[in-house]
Amino acid sequence: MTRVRPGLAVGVVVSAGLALWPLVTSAEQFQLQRLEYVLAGLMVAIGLNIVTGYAGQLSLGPGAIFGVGGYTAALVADRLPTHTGLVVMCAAALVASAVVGLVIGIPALRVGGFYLGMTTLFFALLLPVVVSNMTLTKKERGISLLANVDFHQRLHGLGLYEVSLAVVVVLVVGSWALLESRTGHRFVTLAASEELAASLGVAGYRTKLLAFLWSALPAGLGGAFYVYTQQFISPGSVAPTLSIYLLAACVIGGFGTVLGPYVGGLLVIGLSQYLGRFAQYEGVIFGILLVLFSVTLPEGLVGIDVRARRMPTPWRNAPRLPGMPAGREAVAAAAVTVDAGAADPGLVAQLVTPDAARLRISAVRRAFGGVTAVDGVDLVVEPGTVHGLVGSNGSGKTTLLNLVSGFHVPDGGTIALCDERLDGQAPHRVAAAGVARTFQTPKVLERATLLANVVVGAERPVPGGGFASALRTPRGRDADGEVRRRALRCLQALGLADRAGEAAGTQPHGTRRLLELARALAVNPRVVLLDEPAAGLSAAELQVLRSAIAALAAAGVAVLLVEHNVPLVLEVADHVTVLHEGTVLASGTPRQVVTDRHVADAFLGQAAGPGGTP
Amino acid sequence: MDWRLLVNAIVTGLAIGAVYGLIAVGYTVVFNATRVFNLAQGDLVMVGVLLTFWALNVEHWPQAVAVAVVVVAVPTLAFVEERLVVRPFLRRPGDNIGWFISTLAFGLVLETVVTLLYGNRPPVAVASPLPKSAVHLGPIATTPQLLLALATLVISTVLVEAFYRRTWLGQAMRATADDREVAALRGIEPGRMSMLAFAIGGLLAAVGGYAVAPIVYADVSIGLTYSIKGFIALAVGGFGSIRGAIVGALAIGVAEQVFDVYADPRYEILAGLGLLMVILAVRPTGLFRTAVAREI
Amino acid sequence: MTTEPPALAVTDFSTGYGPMEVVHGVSLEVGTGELVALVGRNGAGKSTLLAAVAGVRRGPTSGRVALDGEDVSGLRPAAVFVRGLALVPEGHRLFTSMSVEENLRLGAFPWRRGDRRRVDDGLSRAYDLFPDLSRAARRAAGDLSGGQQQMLAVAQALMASPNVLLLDEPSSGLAPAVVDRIYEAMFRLRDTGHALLVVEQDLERALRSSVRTYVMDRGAIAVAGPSTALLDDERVPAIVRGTAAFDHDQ
Repeated sequence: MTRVRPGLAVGVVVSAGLALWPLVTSAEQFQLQRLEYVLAGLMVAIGLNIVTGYAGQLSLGPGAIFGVGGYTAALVADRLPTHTGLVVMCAAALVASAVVGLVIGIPALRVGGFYLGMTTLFFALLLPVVVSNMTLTKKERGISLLANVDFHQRLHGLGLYEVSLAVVVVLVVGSWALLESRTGHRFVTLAASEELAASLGVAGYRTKLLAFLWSALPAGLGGAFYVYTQQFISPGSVAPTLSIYLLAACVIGGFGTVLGPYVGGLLVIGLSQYLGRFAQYEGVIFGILLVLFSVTLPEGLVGIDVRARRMPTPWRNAPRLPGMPAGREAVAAAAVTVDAGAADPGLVAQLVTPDAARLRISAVRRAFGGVTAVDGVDLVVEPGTVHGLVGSNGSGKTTLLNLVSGFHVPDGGTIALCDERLDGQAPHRVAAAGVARTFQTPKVLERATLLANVVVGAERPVPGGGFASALRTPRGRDADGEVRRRALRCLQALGLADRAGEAAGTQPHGTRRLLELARALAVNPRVVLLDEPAAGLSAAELQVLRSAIAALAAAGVAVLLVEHNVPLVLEVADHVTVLHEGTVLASGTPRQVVTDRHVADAFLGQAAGPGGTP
Repeated sequence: MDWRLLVNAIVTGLAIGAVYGLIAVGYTVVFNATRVFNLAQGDLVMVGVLLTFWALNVEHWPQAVAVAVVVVAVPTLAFVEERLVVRPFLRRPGDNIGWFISTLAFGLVLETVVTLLYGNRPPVAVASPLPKSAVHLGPIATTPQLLLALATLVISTVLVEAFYRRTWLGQAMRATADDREVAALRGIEPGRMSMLAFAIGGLLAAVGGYAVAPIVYADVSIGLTYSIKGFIALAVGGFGSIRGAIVGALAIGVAEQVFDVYADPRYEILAGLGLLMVILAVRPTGLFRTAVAREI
Repeated sequence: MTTEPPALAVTDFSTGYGPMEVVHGVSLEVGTGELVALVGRNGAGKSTLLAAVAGVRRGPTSGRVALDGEDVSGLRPAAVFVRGLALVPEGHRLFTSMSVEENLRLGAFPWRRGDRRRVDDGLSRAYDLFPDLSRAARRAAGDLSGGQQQMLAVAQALMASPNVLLLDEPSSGLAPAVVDRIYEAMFRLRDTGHALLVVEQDLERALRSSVRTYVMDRGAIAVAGPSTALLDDERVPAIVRGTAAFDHDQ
């Protein structure tokens, strides 16, 4: 099914308009320089969108990296005027911006939240102070290449303008390819939920750093183009307000959308160039626009379309998420025949082929404040079996699950998968060892399709790199096709394939739970931890869950099932452990546990009740 | 090297740190009730400083009138900020970026408006009612103005802590920070609490602006710098802890003054950067932060 | 029969969670001196319903909520509370950084001015109802055991002496002996003229403790009636335990 993508049309029209603009109006040097300034700013905005829009890490100092790139390019050109052209300046700026990106990112990203935002803002603030005092950067006067008689623009006039525009277009296309690649998927998953990303094996810190680096490079490039086109840089070129205007560009255009920074940047930076005598009101104008857009239209101008298609309600508390593989086209491209709606647990045996591994939990303890949530629990989950974990609220079930998956570090005891110690490992390492999990409150990418939600899991077992996927090499395309087929079959196994193209955010609770299970299948897990998977399921969905759990065990997976629905546990589990106030109250086959007197007193008596058997 | 130089740098640093401390306490009051980090706090202090300058140096009003003007005007601005640019995001629980951008934008608007009214003039000293002569405490020389800044910080902190502990409203604000929804279910309007928090934050900015005006001069562009130094104070001290914030603020003040003496005052801003980098490397959650269990 | 309106009347009430409607046109009543149970599977919409009745709307909401005939639908939670309806949400949520007594006092926040008696009376009533709490008055609420936290949550809701009390799974996660004590307190409240609506996981306890039971399934009331009659109704355990033979989806 072919369909004109509105985004593509907008992008082509805007780019063509920009390319023809000087031909239609005037190609005077002065006019071109103004436009080239806007284009340099666009490069920075496109970079900012990668770290803040895609990866969800607020950065407020794009102007600082732009400034470092610009000053570096200017210094190189000023010192070696006869050897230096645009290419050398760009290269120098890229290196400098990468270095600054690491210097800022490595410490600032260690703490989550808004530390990156504040640290980058601080850099934006101090760069003009520092360069206006340094002799190297010629203090307040700044560096003027025009004043350097040995420096000549080999590329100039209309040619320079068109080259700048081409670089911007390449960056836009590149940021689109990045978003659609494995790396981009990791960014988007991270932005939606750090816990979810970690449970899928995404190393949070490293991925954030990568996103920040990917955002620093276009900013540095923007700096080099600024200096080459304007022939000048001074502390005034890198004022902290520049960073705020670039932020405004992305907010107004739409963070997280491919075209947002392009469109928003043209409006904001373009406007700032042509304000004329209103320039003194710049701060008020952009400040008010920034507030207005972030309050009333958080998706930005480009995002309006996204909202109209995917979120048909006025409820906008979902995180901003960009495209990811679109729905129906992807389903068609995956070339799998889909039986509408019917679950096919038989597929699990083909999809999940783990190396059998035993999960062993020994004497694990964990306290929060004064309360000991888990107090010396021993538990073994054999491969190919289902181990049920029951107990009242607050008995420590979920804490135990979080200890296994690495979200909490035990105060004592060991957790091991075969011979590999899991306790003390970061969640993404536990996930990489083959432990998949679902969450009590399903964590899904609200704005993405069901297929895209499973794709982020299915990328783990299918070999392939981020670059191959972003550059669409034949091998990358093959791998991506394989990933989509696998994801679709996982959906099919749980009866969700006919809804693969719908947005996860519009799905009912039961579908979200099964979607999480499909995502867990997709990673080809050795161990699956299920946190109350039956809560809120309809009878039909419960049946799908039952057979999927059985199929997982049959495929050789070790399943740890935390569940309130005791009849379900008694039915599907091979072994049941009852937790009470953080300790093991009873452990054995379902039959042994049901007849245990302590269990009857403490727990099952109230939960199972009369007629509680299935 | 003269050790007195160092001692005096430390004493001056403590007083300058008091300015950052007042911003950091303002941040904490707002953050504790709303989980919002008010990036315009530094600009509110800037408005306080400039209003003081305008009332005393331009209009030549008596001190009492100047205080009254500042103490009414700045909290009013904070109040407006809460309604216009913060409240919409408090109703949008998933959004952790929006308020950051909008408070930053509010600060930008404040700075631009003040620049338009005041003009882009070089910093000017603000008249002080206190004697200019130095106060000698043994070998340490300081000015009454610096002592006033420190005293303002100490008194404000004591009052804020007493407000949290001893008054109904203070308790209700703490409760709102603990669980906004349960607070609403017990008749505490979370919206009023956040308005109150911003008003108190504004009051701290006003008092701070008045007390430090003679030290920092009338300069339109200091707002963002102060906002960031207040943030570093929190990063050093640990978010949520008022005492931590003050320790962090005094540390920055001292670090800057010591940097001025032994390095180069023109690059004073690097002292704060250095402190931030050290704390991020050594103890990223700050000195006074306690571990909190994560909800997963 | 008098024509006096019931303490709580919910009429044709729909509400949702985010974009989705999860409660569809529910109507129920609780009279003064009645303990009424609301049961159903996880995800049936009970908690969402209770929260929305108390004014915490998580999605588009329509329908009418009346307290003694006075329409309170559309009011904010704080305003509903002042008019005499208190919700004890699931999971004994408290102000964990504050002491037991501070938590209790905050339960009477709207009456803080000029009405010290009301606060002091509330405190003594709370300590009378749950003597455990008076012994722990100065401890931080976050350090209490689960049972004590639940008692504190109930006591806090009672500080303003509301006419209508909504309790969302008050027995969840607690040992049976503790649950018994919480139910004893609830019976005392019922006998002193309060109207109580309780969401209860334990079906048998729900049916035996209440005068009337509403059974919720997928956001609607599937079965309702006097609890004694429902004790022998096979449909009820089938719906609540998710083993119902009929399934609206298919």
